[in-house]
Amino acid sequence: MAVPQVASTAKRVVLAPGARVVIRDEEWIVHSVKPASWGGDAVHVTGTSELVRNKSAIFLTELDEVRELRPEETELVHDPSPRYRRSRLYLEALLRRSPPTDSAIYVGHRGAIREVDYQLQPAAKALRQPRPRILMADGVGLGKTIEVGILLSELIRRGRGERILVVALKAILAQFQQELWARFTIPLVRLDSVGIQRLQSKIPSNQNPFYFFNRAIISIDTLKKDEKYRRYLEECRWDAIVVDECQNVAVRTTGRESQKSQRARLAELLARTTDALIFTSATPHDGRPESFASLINLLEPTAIADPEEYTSDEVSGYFLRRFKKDIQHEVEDEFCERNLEIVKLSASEAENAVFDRLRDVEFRTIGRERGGHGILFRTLLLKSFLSSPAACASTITKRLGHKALEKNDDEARHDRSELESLLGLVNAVTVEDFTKLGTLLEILRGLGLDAKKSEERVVVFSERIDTLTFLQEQIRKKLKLKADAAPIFHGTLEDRKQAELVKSFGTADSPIRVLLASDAAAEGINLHFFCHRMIHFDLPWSLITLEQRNGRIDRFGQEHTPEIRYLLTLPDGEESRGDLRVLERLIEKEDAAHKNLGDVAWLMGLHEAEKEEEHVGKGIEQGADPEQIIGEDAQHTDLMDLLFGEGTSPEPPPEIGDPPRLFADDLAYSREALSTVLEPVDEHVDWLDEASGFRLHPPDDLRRRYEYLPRELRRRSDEVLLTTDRGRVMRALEESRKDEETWPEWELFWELHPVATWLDDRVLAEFGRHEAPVLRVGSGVAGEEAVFVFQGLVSNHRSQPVVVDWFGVRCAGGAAGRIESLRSLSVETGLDREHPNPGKELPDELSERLMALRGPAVDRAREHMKQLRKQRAADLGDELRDGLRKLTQWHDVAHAALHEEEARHLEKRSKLTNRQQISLDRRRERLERIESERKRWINDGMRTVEEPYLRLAAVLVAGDSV
Amino acid sequence: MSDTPLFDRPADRVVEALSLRIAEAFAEVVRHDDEGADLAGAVTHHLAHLEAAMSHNEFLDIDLARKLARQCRRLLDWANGADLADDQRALARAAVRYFVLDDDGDSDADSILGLEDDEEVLVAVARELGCVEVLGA
Repeated sequence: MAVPQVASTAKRVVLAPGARVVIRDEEWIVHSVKPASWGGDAVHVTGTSELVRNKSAIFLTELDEVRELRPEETELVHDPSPRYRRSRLYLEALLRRSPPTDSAIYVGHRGAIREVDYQLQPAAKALRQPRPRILMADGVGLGKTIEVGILLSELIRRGRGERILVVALKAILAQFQQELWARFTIPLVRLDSVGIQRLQSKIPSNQNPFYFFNRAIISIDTLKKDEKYRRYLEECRWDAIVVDECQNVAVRTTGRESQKSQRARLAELLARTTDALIFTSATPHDGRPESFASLINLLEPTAIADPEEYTSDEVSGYFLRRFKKDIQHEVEDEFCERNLEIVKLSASEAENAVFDRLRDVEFRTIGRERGGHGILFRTLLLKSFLSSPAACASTITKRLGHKALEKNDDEARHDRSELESLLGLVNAVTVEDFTKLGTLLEILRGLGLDAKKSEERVVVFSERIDTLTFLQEQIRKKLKLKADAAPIFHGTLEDRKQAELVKSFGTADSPIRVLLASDAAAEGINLHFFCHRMIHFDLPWSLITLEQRNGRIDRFGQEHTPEIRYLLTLPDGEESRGDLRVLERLIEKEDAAHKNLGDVAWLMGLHEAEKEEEHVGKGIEQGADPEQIIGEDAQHTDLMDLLFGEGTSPEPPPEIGDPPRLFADDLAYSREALSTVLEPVDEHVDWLDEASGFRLHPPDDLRRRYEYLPRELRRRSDEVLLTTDRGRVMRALEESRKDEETWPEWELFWELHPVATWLDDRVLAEFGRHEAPVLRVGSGVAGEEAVFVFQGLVSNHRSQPVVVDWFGVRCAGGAAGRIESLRSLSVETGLDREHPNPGKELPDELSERLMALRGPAVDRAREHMKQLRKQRAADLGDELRDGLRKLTQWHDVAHAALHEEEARHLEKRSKLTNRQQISLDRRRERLERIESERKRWINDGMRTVEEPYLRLAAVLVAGDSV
Repeated sequence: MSDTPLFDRPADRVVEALSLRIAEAFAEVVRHDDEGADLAGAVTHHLAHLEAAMSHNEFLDIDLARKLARQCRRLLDWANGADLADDQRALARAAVRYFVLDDDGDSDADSILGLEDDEEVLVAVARELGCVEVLGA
C-alpha cells in the first residue's frame, strides 16, 4: 500500500554557516543546512547558550521553528576584556570559519607535507570545476595520497567535506587512514572486517552503518561482496568520495568481465551519491579511448557523448597525469637514482634437462592456455619453471588432474606420459641444483640477514605462491630466521592480515627481515619506509607489473638509493638462451622508460599487464627477436598524444589564497584563545615554545569530541601534543614507524584539527546571542564616524556559499557611506593589533547614535552584497550557458546514437528482441535521468537566493568617541 | 484535426525541424489550440513574470525575454493581417503560446537556459510561415 504523501509546509531556510539561530529557545551556531528528502531542511548546529553549550544537534524545519537572528537586531555590546582580546578572537574565529568560494588553495598546502606545486595542482584543477571531480593519474610513487589529502582539506575548509567515503584496496586501508590523519588531521573510520564486526555489535542490525560515521574508509571488495551494502549506499549522500586505484572500475577488454562490471556498477552508484568525486590511478587506461572514456564518464556522465570518438576539450578538465621526469625539478632530493643489477646465472645440469625438455615437448589435448593469457601451455610451463621447480611441479600436477586427461584415448595417454616425464625431471632438481635459490641465500647472507641483530630488510617478489612458500621454508631453515621474520604477502590473505604486514614492515622495530611478496603487493602499498632493497626472484613478463613492483621502494620519500636486483637463470642451450633474451630487454626498457618516458605502458602500447604477458609469451614461442617483441621507441608518449595527437599542456601554477587574519598565525591565535576559554589555563595547557606548540589536557567537552574519533586515532594518554611546525609532525610520523603500536607523538595544529575547531566554537560562544562588540580604535576612524564590520554571504539553492565578503560600511552624519574591504580596514585601524581598552561601558549617547546607524549600515551592506551577486552572474553567465548548451548537445548526440543502434538492429530483423528493447529503453531512461539530474544540479548550484546573509560582526569607533 | 497527411501540415514540418527535446513539448502545445485566448495580454503578463523572476534567477536572460516578447507581438500582428490558412494561423498562435507557457520542458523563469527553446520555436515557425521579418531586432 502506498504511503500517502503529505505536502510539506516547512519553509526552506537560508542560513549561512556561522549564522546564529534560536531553536527551542536556545541559541545555536549553524554548521550547515542540507535539504531533507521529505521536505524542508535539516539544520546542523552546535549549541552556544548555557543549556546546550557545545552540544551538536540536527533540527528539521518540518518539526521545529528556526528563528534567525537578523543583523538589524544585533545588539551592540561593550567588551571589557583587556586589549579587546575577546572581540579580536571572536572576529578571528569568524574569519577562520569563513568559507572560500574561489579555486585558490587556502589550507591544503599547509598540511604536514613538503609543499610542492605539482601536488597542489590536482586540487586547484578540481576546484575550478563547478563540481569538484577529478582523476589524479600521476605515475607510480609520486604521492597521490597526499594529493587526495590536499583536495579533501580544501573541501572541508569550504564546508563541503563533512561526509567523506574513501574506497581503496584492502591492503592499504590502514596506510591511507594514517596518512590522512597524520598529515591533514582528517579522521577516517576504518571499515575493514574487524571494523565492520565491531560496528555490527554496536548498532541495530537494520541501521545503515554509513550514517553512523561521517568519514570512513572501506575496500571496494567489501562493498561489492554484500548486496545490503549497495542498498545502504543508495540511501546515503556524501560530500566527497575517493576511489583509489580506480582502474579496477573502468571498462576493460579482458579479464574477469563479470567481476569488473560489478565493480563498475558500484562505482556508478557511488558517483550518483556524491558531490565531489576523486579517482586515483597510476594506470588509468588500457590504450583504448573507450576505457579511458568510461572512467571520465564515471566522473562526469555528461563529459563524453560518444566514447569511441571524443575531443581533448571534453576530457582535459577532468584529469591530471605527470611522471617523475615531469616533476623532478621540483623534488630533486625526494627521489634517489636507483641502482640496478641483473644477476645472470648459468643453469645447473638438472635445470638444463628441464629447459631442454620444455623446448621439445608437445601436447595434444592442451593448446593455448586461457588462464595463461593465450600462450601455449608449454610456454606457461617454462614461465613457471623460471619461477621455481616447485611452481612448475604444481602446474604440472594440477594439469594431470584435469578431466581432459582422464580419458583413455591416445592423445590423453600421450600427454599424461609427457607430463609425468617432465614432472620427473622437475622433481630431480634438488635444492642444491636450484641455482637461483643458492644465489638468493648468498645475497641475503651478504646483507647480514642471518645475523641476530641485523636491521636490514629486503622485499623478494615472485609471481607464484608456490615459489614464495618454498622460499619461505628455505630462508627460515638456511638463515635460521624466526617464523615472523620471513612472512608471505599475497592477495588471498585476509584484509586485516595484509594491513598488519604492511604496517609492520613500515615500522622500525618490525621483526620482518624478508618480505616475500606476490604481485598483489605490487599495487599501492608503501614498502619504502625502512627498506630500499628489492630482489625479483622471477620476472613478470610485463613492463607494467615490473614498474609497479619497483615502485614499492623507488618512490617519493625514499631516503636511500633503491637497490634492485633481478635473478635470471639462463639455460646452456643456444636456442633456449636466445628465447629468454627478451627478459633482459624487459628489465632494460623498464629502467629506461622510468627515467625518460614516464609511462612504461607506451613501449608495448598494450596498457594492460595481462596483454603484455601474452604478447611477450607469444614472442618467445615464435622465436622473435627481443627488439621485435619490445620496440625501441614508443609510438605515442602520452595519453593526449594517443587520443588527440597533441601533447599535454602544462598546468598553471596553483593560486595560493591569502585570507584576511587578525592574528599572526595559528599559534598566536591559540595562545590568546586558550587563555580566554580555559581558566585557569595552566591547568590545561603547557606551552612548548621551542616546539612551536603546546601540550593540552583536554577539558571534558573536548574529550567528548575525541570519543567520536575512530578508535585507532584516540590517544591512550590523556593529553595531546600539538604543534604548528610541520617538519616536527613529519619527523614524528617517521619516528612512529619505529614502533608498530604507536601513532605520531605530535599532531598538526592547524585550522582543521579537532582542537582548533573546538577552540573556534568556544571563542564564538564568548559573545551572547546576537551581539556585536564595539571597539575603540586609535586610527582610521575619526570623530563621530563609525565603521560597521560585516560578513556577507550569498548562497546557492543548496545552501552553499558562493560569494563571501568581509567589509566595513563607513557611517557618519546619520547615513551609511562607502564600503571598505576588511583587509584595508585592518591596516588603517590596526584591527590586527591590540588596542588599549578604556574599559568603560558605552555611553548612552554613543549607543543611541550607533543604533540609529545600524539600519542604514545593514541596508548598505545588503546593497553591496547584491551588487556582488549581480557581478558574479555577469562574470559567469556566458560560460554557464555554454556549459548547458554542451549538455544539450551531449544529450542529443547520445540520443541519436541510441536511435542509430535501434535502426541497425531493425535492419537485421524487423523487430527488436525483448532484450534489445529493454536495453535500449533502460539506456534512454538513464540518459534522460542523467541530463535532468545534471541540469537540476547546475540550476540549483549556480543560481543564488536573492537575500544575502549578513552578520554584523563588530563596530569600530574612534578611540576618543563619547 | 486536419485531414492533411502527416508532414504535409505546417506544424508537423516545424516539429520535425526542432531539436528532439523541444519537438515533443511543442507538438503538445500545437495539439491544444485555443482560438479565443488573449495572447497579446498573455505575452505582457509573462514578460512581467520573467522580470520578477530575475530576483531568484540572476542568470535569466532578460534581454532575450524582451526580444522574444517583441517578436511574439509582431507575429500576432502579422498573423492577424495576413491571408493565412487555418493551420498556419494556429501555428503562429502555438509559437506564442509556447513562449507564454513557463514550464515548457525547460522552465523559462527558473532555468538558466530556459528561453533558448522558445527562441528556437519562434525562428522555426517564422521560417515556415515565411515571415522572418518579425524576428527583426
